[in-house]
Amino acid sequence: MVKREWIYAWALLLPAFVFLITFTHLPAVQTLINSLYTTPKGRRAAMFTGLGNYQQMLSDPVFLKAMVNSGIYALVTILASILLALAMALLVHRSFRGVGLMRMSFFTPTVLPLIAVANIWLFFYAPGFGLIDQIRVFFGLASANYAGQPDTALYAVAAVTIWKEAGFFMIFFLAALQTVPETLREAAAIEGCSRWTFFRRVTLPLIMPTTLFVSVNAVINAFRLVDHVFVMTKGGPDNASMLLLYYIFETGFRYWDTAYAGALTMVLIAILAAVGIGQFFLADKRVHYR
Amino acid sequence: MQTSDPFIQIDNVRRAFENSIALDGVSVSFERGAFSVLLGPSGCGKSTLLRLIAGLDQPTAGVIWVEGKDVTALPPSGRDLSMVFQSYALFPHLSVAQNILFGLTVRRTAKADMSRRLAVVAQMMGLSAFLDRKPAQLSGGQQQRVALARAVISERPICLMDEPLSNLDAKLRAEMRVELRALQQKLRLTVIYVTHDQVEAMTMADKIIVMNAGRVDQVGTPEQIYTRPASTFTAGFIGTPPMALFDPVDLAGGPVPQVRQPHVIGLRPEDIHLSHSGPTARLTGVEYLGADRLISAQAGQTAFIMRTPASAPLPAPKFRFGWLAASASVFDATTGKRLPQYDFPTPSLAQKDTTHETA
Repeated sequence: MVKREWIYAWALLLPAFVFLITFTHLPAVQTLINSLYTTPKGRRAAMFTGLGNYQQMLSDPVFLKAMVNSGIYALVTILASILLALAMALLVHRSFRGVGLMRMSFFTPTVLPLIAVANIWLFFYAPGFGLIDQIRVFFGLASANYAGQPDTALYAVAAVTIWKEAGFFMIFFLAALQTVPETLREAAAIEGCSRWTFFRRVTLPLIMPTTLFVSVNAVINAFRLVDHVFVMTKGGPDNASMLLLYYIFETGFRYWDTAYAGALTMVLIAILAAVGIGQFFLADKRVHYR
Repeated sequence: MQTSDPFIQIDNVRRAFENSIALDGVSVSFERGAFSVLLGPSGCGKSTLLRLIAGLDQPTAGVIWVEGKDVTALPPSGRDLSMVFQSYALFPHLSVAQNILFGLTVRRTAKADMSRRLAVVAQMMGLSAFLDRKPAQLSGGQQQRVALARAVISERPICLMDEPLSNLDAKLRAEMRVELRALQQKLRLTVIYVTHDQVEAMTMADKIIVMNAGRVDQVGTPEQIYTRPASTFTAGFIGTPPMALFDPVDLAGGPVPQVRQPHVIGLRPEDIHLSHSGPTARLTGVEYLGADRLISAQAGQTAFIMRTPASAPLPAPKFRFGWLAASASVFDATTGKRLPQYDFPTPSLAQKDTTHETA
């Protein structure tokens, strides 16, 4: 009897397993194996090099640049999008005329495809006639090419990510804020608690689970969302906006150095795993789950 | 109580919401050191009135005075009062100690002062062993004590309570009633207590304010409210079971007062007794309560309940009943207001006892 139940269970799980293993686990293992070999060329089969590909990274200036860029990009987009999302959520967590319209307009960037968003921002950044340049020129400043200058390209790309993500995270914060009981605010008001103190001592700790969830998402997105780099900068100028995932794409599918791309992918997975696990363990102590 | 200086004075306060009027011209006063209870059915405006006193809501019209000072426009923190909420409003992420000290912390009280007051209050409330726990790790009764401790530690003279016992089970509620009253007396707190539970009101109050449909129906001591209800509403609201309201025709043959205007006569269940003469009633039901029996009966058009000692014999299917003339309340049939000119001078407790004995 027990055995039949097991067969039944496995039969139910089988379709999911087939797809997961074929399209997720096998490629992942294959990538790991590939990263330990050289890239097969026409006349030379793949050779085992052990950690050779990983050693190569240490002397690859583009990889190092991409790592630094990814770090900055992650830091900027995570912090800014979470803070902005929280600020927007606090703004629309009230009732006033047009609050529905405001919530919708904050959320709109989320539903647009990132490629379309990138095109909108290309217009904002366009030197000469773009929105930002028009404002700059109006105030008598020199024309600037934010997406095309090495010192601003990374931040120009980061701004797009923030703009796109903040509205999405706002929804989570808004939902969390609405679970904080109104009587807590009233009890605090009677004690003479200022709005800022209440926010810091009560609201913020109570929405910590949401903040953790949002920040894990933000970290993942910081390494995952690179669609707009294709449209806006292609990693340039001079690798100024080169991000790790975009570099993996270039190495693997532009230069067809699949073994090296595999090794880079392993690095990306290691980073994401470390950050994700670390976040849960570190934050767990500070998060109050009801 | 009525004559001492009004500590808190509500002056013709009105609170209208978008499509309803919660309070319609309420004027009432609360004395210093008294336990005042706002009593009424849900939706009568009692909680709204409490929130106006707390400053959590603003009146549409009218003035609220505290110690002769107009506080109508002041924020809650400027009114020098504490409040206990029905939901307790404890901060779930803070420990018991942090919850109790929350107000003192935000007001930047000195550390030494805080720990001294915490020790005293925790001792008084029996919370000393739980100071490190989170609210979720406490029972309902303990959470209730934390909420009380938070109010007490502020050492503010006025304490507002919004149905604080309604989330407790019956046994705990009975214990807390006694404790609350003792605490109020010990600390000489001016308590304004909102409830729909008349037992809470009767057992704890110095003064009861009965509210109905956004207005004050009657103000008085529990005894005044019980023995001399000011209207048919209060008569029908206070008492379990409440006062029976008779059409005078149905009482013909008994000691009915001579009233020339259209009226109804109210009799408490314990004031009605079996009799050899008087109006007749038809027995419709019996409820056994241990010490007493509640006899449901019908006299003419009026259904009523009388209370007899459980040791007394059951009435016949058709029986005659009587009452002492002094125990009857007379109300105007159209306005429902009490007609005090028909009151006997003193409805004393001794008379009530003989009522029971003759039954």
